[in-house]
Amino acid sequence: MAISLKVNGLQRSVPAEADTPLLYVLRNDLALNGAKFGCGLSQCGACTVLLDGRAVRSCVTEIGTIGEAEITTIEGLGTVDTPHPLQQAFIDLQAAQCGYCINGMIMTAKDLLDQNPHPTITEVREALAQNLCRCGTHGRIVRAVLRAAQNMGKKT
Amino acid sequence: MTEAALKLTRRQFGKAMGTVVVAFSLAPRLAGAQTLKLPGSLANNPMLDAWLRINADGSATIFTGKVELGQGISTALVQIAADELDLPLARVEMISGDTAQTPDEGYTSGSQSIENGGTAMRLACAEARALLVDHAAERLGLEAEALTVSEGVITASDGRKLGYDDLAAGLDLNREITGTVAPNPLKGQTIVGRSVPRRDIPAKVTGGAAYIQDIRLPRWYMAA
Repeated sequence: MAISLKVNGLQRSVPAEADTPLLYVLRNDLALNGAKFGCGLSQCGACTVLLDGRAVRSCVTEIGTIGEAEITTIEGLGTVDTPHPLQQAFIDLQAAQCGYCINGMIMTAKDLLDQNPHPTITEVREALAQNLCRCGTHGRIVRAVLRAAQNMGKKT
Repeated sequence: MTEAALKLTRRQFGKAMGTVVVAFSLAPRLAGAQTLKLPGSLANNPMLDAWLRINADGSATIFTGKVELGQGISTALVQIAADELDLPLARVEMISGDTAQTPDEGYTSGSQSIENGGTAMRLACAEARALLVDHAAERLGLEAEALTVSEGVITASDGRKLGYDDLAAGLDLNREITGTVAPNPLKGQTIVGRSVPRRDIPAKVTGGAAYIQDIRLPRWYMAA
């Protein structure tokens, strides 16, 4: 069967069953690299995308449950040439080692900043606490989110 | 696991792993080959053009059999090459881990990429730079000692200049590395030892192709 999904502003039709995890559709059918397969169990956060602006784990989100909700992946935030302030801050602060968790960090932070444009360092840490990273850039990740919040505040 | 094995530090473990890798891959090829054993990954990959080419525009493309795992070698190896070639960082591109194009350096593990791959890259680029200088000396009718190199331009004591772009077509890198060209001394390095932006990060924060699973072949699906 085919299911219609709205991804990064485009209506896409994918030949997949309703219980297929959104992550598989994003990676296999739509060839989007941003969301990562980490644990497949909603434990690590590497697969995070936004559904109507809220962060969800795409590895456990069945496409049949999405309906008309808008899906935003990290590709929908910005590009290398025109990065979103969060992406720019992560580049500026070199806030990645292997980088595998960073999709989830940025997408979760996007949700946070949309809800709370001026978070404290504690609020950033709490928001990202469920996104696992086993490398060494935790401090830079938190600083990058705070930097992005600061820069986004300047522009509005 | 024995008690002795448990006491290994991470570094010792890495070194031991690296040794195992080299031991397996070296043996068959070195038999009766050279008298001088080339250091690092050059031992298995002694041809100069396995490591780099000078492009028609005077930029360089370098090749590594090691891959970026977040340890930063897609930036670090370019820094090493740029310093040895006397080229700005922006004029060195690297191709990594493409088995059709890059030297076979075995596994990327055990903190060996700079140790073995970096050593090889450094010596290969130093030798390529020396060939460029020799080539320029011949063209200008001067001794190599009368020439200086800066940012890909070779300047003679009388002021004449030849760029790597002028020399690229006449440069033959399809030769064995001698390993006898001394690399740039540490004090002459302007790029190595400096913190520069990592080349892999922009793709990793925008959904670019950055990992092995981002390679896609027709009818290739992933699942778990």
